[in-house]
Amino acid sequence: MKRSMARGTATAAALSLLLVGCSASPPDGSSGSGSEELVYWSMLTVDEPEVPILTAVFDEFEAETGITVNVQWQGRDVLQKVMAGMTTGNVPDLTDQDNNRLQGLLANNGAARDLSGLYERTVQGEDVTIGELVGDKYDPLTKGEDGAYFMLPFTLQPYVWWYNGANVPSLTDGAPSDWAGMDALLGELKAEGRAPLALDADHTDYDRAMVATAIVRAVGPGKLLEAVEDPTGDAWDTPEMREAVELFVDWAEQGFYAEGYDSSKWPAIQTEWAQNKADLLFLGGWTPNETRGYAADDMAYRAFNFPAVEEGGDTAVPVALNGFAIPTKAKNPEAAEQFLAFLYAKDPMSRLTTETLSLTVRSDIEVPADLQDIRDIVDQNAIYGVNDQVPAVVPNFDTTVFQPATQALVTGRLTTDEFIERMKTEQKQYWELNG
Amino acid sequence: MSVLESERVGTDADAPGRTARTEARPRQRSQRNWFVLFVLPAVVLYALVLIGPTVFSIGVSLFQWNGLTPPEWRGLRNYEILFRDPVFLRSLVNTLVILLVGGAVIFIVGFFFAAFIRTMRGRNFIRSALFFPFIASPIALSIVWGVLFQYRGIVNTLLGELGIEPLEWLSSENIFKMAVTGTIWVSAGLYLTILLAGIDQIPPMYYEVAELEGASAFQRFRYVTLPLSWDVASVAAILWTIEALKLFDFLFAFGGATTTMPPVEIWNSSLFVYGQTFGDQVPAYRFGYASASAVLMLLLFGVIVVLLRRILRREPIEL
Repeated sequence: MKRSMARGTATAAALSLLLVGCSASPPDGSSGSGSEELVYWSMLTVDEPEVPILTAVFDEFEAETGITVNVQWQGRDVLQKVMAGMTTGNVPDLTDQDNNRLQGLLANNGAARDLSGLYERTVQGEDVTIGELVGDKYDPLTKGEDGAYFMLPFTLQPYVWWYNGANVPSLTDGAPSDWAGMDALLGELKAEGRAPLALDADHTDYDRAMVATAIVRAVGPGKLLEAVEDPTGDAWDTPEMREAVELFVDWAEQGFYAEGYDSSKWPAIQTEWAQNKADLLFLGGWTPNETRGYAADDMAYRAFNFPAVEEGGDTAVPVALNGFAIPTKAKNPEAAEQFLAFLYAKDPMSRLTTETLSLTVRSDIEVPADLQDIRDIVDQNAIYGVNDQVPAVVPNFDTTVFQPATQALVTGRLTTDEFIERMKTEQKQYWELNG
Repeated sequence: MSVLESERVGTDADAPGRTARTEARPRQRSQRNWFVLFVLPAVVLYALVLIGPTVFSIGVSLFQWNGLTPPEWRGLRNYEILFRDPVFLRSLVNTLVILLVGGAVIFIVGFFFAAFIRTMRGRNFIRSALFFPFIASPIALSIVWGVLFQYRGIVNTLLGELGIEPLEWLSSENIFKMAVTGTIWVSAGLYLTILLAGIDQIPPMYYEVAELEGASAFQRFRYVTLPLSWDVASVAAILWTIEALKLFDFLFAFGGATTTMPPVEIWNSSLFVYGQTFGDQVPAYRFGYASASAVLMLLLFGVIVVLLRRILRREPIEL
């Protein structure tokens, strides 16, 4: 009996050791060979069009430098996995996401490495530094409060009004430049029996982006964030805010939105827009890439900037940047920087632009016709962070107060007074509880 | 016979003789050792994955902590804020609505179907068909639910064939009602199956006697089905209470779009916890606050389960 007990205990101990042995190997699969491997956790999933191009770049990079890129296509939640690994040190050497998330999750928690040195690095095979290529236009979105670069922007997503040039040819002659012109355009389209506006209102991110853009037009970049951070909530009760809110009350009352926009599941209305059943869609630069699979045969992607309140007013473009960051606990940051200097060369950037319809920060690359309008819009205007950075700075407020209110506004459930009062009351309460 | 029973039997059998008792001791000790060896891994595992995290959550609920920087002591402040937080209070109400309204519908429909199909031919097929939604992925079902009821969805298309104008099933005002309805659709099959299993055990002679006595269908349900399946129903009620608290995937997938959280109108306690931690595009990482809400909900539902057990307790009926 004793022997069988001992045998049982030994078996249990062996199993435990086996389990410990299994868990001791790095979960990222890295061999721990140091500078010969670069671990990259990507925001992409393996089925996305960028993946074959990036995979080819990894192979070219390895042939050039001998460094193997060990990539994991983690998807959009990649930073949550990076943050979870920050406490244990199980982090990649390189990761990517949009500027809101990189700032809100990595930079604000001191988990992003300062990339100032990377900006000074020369692009592979070119006589120009990465910093010179990118320029300082995006600095407000890529630098943290300490003035250090927490990310290197790669592609950009300007939020604009999209339309099919073949479906609304009158717009190609000249888009509205102020709100009066916009209202007139929508009224004309409606009078023709068309659905002027497409909006998947169940996607609260889209509701909020549209309303936030109008508010920033009315109060100026940076002022929406200031208003949101006002603990009294009184900053909402100004003529400029009211004018912006009134725009959406009016659009809902006039019935400018496509039928069923408040009771469909994304991307139902976006699909209708792509099939010429609605005319204008306010969305990011990914629209051509995302909708081309189901777009009408005559689709010619055209875009115009959200008009100024009045002629000559502010026309800064709301932009989200996708880009790279290196966690502070990265084991091989040098290889990550070396890879980025390789990736930012003209050839890989051109391939990505052309084959995935992505607008990159390299404005010296020729873009496909579908992206030409947004290239021009970005190059000809100042930029600011979409939603005035509210989701990055006060994410919980954005989710629980701002987004629900904007959804109620665009779906016609609130008057201007009700929206202003709701924001004042809920914001005051939010800061009382969370200030 | 369990190890403990065999131990007890062995002791009783050996009681008359001291020598026999002395001989039995090494065997008892050996059996005890085996018992400990077999039970210990389960106890350790249970402590590690359930008791440990629960105690840890209670501790974290007293701090403000984002998981990265050192936690800051808050005492009971997180709990104070919760009782004034309109989003939490709404999530709490939604959870209770799902529990009570959803539960009422599930059990009424469950009993009705169970009593109705008890004597039907092909009842195994019907039972399987009704159970199917429960084994399918809630994520997939939530997509189906959306496709069925969205503005240009299948239901409105069918209504259109009948000359009825399309209805806004998924509008902001209706989204929570539709989420509760969908939850009922997904869950009803399981509870129907449990209730049917209980009703199947009732000998048919009780129904035959009741029929001979002239009992109506409702009276047969009231005086035969209900009392004789009470134990099964009370277990099902407790299971539903726990499921209502933990409900997450269907609501999340039904209300959300791509990577965004569903609108706060349909948040329940689980979505609240997720929204305060990992949810949305820029997660809030408020682990202390989220833990406080989880602890409160655990307490509340613990009380509900205890109350339910007391209310539903009946003397066992021998069949």
